[in-house]
Amino acid sequence: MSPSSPKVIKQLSAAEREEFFDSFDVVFCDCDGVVWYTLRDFIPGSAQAIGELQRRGKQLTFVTNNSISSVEEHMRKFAKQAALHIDQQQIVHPAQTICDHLKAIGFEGLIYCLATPPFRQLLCDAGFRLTEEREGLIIKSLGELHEAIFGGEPVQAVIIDVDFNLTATKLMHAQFQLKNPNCLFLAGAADALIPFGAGDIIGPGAFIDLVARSTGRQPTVLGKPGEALRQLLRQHHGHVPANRVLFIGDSLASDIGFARASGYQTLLVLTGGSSKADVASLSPGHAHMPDYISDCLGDICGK
Amino acid sequence: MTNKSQPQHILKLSAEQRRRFVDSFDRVYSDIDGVIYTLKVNVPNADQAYAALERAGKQLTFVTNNSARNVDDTVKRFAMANMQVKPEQIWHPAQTMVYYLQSIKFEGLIYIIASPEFKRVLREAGYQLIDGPNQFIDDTYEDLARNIFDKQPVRAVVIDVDFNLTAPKMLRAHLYLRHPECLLLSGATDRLLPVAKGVNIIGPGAFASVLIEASGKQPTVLGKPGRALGDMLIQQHNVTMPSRVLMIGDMLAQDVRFGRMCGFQTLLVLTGGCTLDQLQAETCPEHLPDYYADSVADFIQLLADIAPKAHV
Repeated sequence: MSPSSPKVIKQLSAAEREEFFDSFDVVFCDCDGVVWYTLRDFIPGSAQAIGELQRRGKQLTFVTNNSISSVEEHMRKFAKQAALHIDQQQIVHPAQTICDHLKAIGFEGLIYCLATPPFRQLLCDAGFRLTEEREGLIIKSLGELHEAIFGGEPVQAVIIDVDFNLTATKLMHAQFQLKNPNCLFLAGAADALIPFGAGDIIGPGAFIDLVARSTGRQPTVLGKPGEALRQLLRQHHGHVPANRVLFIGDSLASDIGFARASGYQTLLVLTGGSSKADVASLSPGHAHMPDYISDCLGDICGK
Repeated sequence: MTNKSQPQHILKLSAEQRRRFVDSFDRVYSDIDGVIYTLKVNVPNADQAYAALERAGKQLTFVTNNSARNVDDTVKRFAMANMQVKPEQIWHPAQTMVYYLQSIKFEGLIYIIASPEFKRVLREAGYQLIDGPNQFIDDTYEDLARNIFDKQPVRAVVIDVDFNLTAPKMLRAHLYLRHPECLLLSGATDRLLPVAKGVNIIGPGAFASVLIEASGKQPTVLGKPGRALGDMLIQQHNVTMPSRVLMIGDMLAQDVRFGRMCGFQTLLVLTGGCTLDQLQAETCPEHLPDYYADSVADFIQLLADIAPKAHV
């Protein structure tokens, strides 16, 4: 079943709004572009909306793809809203899920990690060993190229998330390491495009896909829109059926498409990466079509 | 013409088939790397093979995807393989890109991701290029924004081999491509580059694909197997019957595909990026050559065998 066009939250009658709230028990909610503006302040009304969901007894979990901010930074941001009490367990964060995954499988090897410093730090703090950052951007000779691709120790895992200084040789080195079938291939945030400024920029998913195609291997993707994350979220809502889960996000592909494939209800907010025009351009029944749409998260409180 | 579904080894053809094959083409487009030489090693007797083809009246042009060596250096490298070629016999993506830009009377700013040698060819032809960032950036979205958002009126993005390619360069290229008039031009298309036996590294085609998919723009491809390259070669050489051209190369997805797309006959040599096993495992009809040979040097024997009759 796919909606031909989303219901607008603001246009729901009081009775329909109650029906909406009664239709789910579990909420998965993105952070950037939904709760707060990307890397900035809370969006007006979103703290009240989160409070409303909690007051109504919804089981609330935040699912972010942003590992540039640590889990602690997410916590500090929530803590600034006096009325909100968010527990660390309520935040699903790619660096943390990868770390948890490595612990769960008893991983002990060396890791080649293409991600931001906070992501790398989280793994180091958890006791994992990472290869040194391989600096030296300017490759001037075939000898240097050879060393950059084929040098260094063998690793037992390659991890790719957002890396602002990703280079061709880092990807080639990852490809080289992944020729070893015992070397794990893990990925965090896997958006093909990320909303940034007035439009989209190329996201980590494009580079993860490049390595996947070059090696013929599929990574375990523990960020949105990854299958491994999907399994993990399923465990989060346990016995609650998928149709009683509401997923709230601002990205049609990474949030809405991802959530619909799990059978969740979906709410798109327009405070982030998607516009009304983006929704209007979807054909009826498109896999990214949300069930509900609202200008901002605060709209669910009604007036 | 016989209906050949499987590639035939040129030295396993009958005497009659050999003569018909040699008479069936007037012009040879030949790849260079993996056919005439690899990085440091020459393919044994390749020079004699091309000399024999020339004596048999075949016009030779060398069409490479490698812009790391400019035309003059390529002429010198040929000399080391004991072959004298003229600069105009060599086509590489940087030079082809210049021809193409001239043909469309391109005027405008170019953002380029390519090797210093590639950039030099375009600059020397009078084109204005910008590139970068050429240093590491801070690990913040603020610094990323400073490095990728740019208001200069870039009207073409060029991508070829750049061993110093970075994510910020790709993100910046993608932003220029948002402009409806900004062209996407690509050179070499290889998704994997063979660097040694059984060792492939990620090639420029894989990076170009990222821009193609993110921007939704179809590139004009000036390397093999680009249609624009084929059109320019055919025009330059006044080729009226493409079937009377033989494309020789070592790569299925570049050389053979290119030849088939242009309607040329195709010959794969096994001295470079493709093994006999890989050839036999190939199922894509667009990648299947008409003929194959262990080496281009097989032409020496082929032409010697038929020489007496051919010249009677």
